[in-house]
Amino acid sequence: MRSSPMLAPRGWGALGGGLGTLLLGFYSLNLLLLVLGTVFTGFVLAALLWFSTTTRGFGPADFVYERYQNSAEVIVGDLGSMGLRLEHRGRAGFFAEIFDSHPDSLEIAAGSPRLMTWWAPGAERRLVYAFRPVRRGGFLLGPTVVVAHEPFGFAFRVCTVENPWTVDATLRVPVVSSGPSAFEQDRRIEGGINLPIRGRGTEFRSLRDYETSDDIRTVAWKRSTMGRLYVREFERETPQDIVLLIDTGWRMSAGNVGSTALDRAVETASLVVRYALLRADRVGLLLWSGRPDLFVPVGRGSDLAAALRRGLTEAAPGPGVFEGYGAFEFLGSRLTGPAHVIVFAAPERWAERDSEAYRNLTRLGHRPYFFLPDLPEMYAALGEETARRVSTLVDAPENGRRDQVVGAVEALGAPVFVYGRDGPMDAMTELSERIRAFRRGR
Amino acid sequence: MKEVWPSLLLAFPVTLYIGVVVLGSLPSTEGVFGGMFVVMLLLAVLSALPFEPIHLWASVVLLGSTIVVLGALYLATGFGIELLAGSLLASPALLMGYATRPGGLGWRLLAFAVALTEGIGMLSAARALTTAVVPVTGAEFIREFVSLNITQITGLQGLLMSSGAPLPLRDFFDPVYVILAAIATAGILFTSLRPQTAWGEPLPAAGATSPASEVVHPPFDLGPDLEAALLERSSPQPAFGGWPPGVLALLGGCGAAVLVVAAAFLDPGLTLGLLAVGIVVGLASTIVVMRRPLPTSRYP
Repeated sequence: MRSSPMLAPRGWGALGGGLGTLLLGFYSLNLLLLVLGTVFTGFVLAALLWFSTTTRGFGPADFVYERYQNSAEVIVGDLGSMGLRLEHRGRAGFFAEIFDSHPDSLEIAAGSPRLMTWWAPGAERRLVYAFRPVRRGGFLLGPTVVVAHEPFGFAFRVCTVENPWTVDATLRVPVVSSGPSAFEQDRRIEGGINLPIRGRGTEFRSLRDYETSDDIRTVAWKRSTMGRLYVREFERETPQDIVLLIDTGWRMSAGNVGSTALDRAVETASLVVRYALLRADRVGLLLWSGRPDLFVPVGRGSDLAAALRRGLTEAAPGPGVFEGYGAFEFLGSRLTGPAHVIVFAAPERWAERDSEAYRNLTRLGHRPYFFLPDLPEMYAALGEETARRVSTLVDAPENGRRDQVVGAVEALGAPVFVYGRDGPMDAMTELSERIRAFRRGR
Repeated sequence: MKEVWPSLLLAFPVTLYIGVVVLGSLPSTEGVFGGMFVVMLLLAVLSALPFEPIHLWASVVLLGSTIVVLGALYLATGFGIELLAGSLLASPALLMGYATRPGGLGWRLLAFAVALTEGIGMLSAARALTTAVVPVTGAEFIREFVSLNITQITGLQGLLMSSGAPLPLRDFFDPVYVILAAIATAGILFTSLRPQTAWGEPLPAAGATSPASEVVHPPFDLGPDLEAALLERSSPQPAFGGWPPGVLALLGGCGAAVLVVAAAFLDPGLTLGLLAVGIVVGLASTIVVMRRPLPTSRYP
């Protein structure tokens, strides 16, 4: 699509000044002023027409681009890079302003995504810059905007070269990477763990005396003595279904940038996903902000890992507020078998209908676990005594809400973990033990 | 701001010339008239200088002077009229001071043109008063200046009605004034006609020191590949080879002016018609090729 030349405010001004001078020339009829007005007006008009003619047909088709040195996944606070090579295939040179659009969440650390230069036909220009994500999320780099400037700033043309590139800014705990090779790599990191085999268990439990019905392959020959044989007893591990229910309402945005309640929830959820998939558990995800923002049905495999990775990376607080009954009813109607439902949420209050929905969920065999952020604790502590007192006063209503929710959920018999700005990583040990117990059928 | 100084040096002589000629050619003037001119001229120069505190003081003094002048006029004393005459004589300098300041190009051009028009009027008035036998005061200078402009307007009306009324501003010609005006034009354009964007950011120009790819030494390790890539990124480059961009437009403007001058010498009656046709054709072409709405945002 061709771009129309735009008359800049400076162009309007110059044209107005020239015509005003001519008007004074017509008033005085003095040759000096007439000549002056003619020079000003003629110059501006000639400049505009010259620019319009030489840049005729200016548009995205005039440019060939290639992105290189580009990062696809960057940890928040680390450096990513972007290189952009553009070739001008138009017929005339122009003063160019090249700008690679990027969100404010990607801080430029070195180089520049902007360049002002003379761009001759056939010439190549390169933008290279390093950026640092300041928050988690999926960000779009591009399109690249090329502005052709009239040399004196009277007019310009703009065109956008559509060359988007997505950068995922992730937290320190990486969500399991997409693709089978990455998935296999994660297994190697774990030290070559064999995935649990269906049927006979693989987890060593104890030794016992040999019985005639035992398989001879289970005999522990090194431990056995003449006249007494021992067999190894294994535990059978049953893959579990795990569903992560994450509140993406506005209350989860509490906390400092990069360590909000939602960031901590995503970080912990990433860890759960990582280890669950390594143990062949099936995992699902529901992002809920008063309505379903994203639902990934339970499953396993590289496609699911990619979907979870994308969902967790792009989870962002929305305008809604988490209400338990809606989310539980949604899950109850979508889950096909009993699942561990790990809830990261900051409900404003816990109502009776939430409890009712909870009970309905547990009746279906699901086992919810609650990770509730202590919202005032998500912020760094204030230093001064006065500030601390004020903060205590301000936090009081929120503490009351938290106590109401925690009390109500505990009354239902559900495990509750309250976490602060350090996140709920410590509670994960207890949670993993509970799920492990189910895996072994206890 | 370095370009302000040559701009000042080129633009102010013409205003000084107006004052010197007017004050020098009048048979007798009171000291207040000339004194006020000098004070206002200094204020004009100060207001054009790129020192912000001086702008503040200049504005305060200018405001104070205006209050004094208006108060004096209200009291209808000769002193007040003399002050007003001095201010009027220095007004081209004040306008020139504004014209040399960076900022809105259109208003600056207009201020410059008004200053030159005023200069023509004042020099014409001074010439008319030179023949006076009685001592001339500032009040008479103002009266002559106003009456000359009224005569010009009457003359224009007569021209439209094809009668031969006098046009005092048209008939004025002073080669020194023309030369100084041309120099002042160069001074005004000196700050305006440099490669820049529509938002006033400088574009790379030949002869100017353009920042090359600066060596990157950030407080973190970029890795050899990225560091190498950063070093090979493009740097701002001016237009080399061929005509400098925009010079053809400048030549176009000058060519149009030459045509007007030639027409004025061949047939003075043809000049206005030629100008009118040129303006209409130029504006029509511009309207056709340019989008008229003002841009609302920098990037789409």
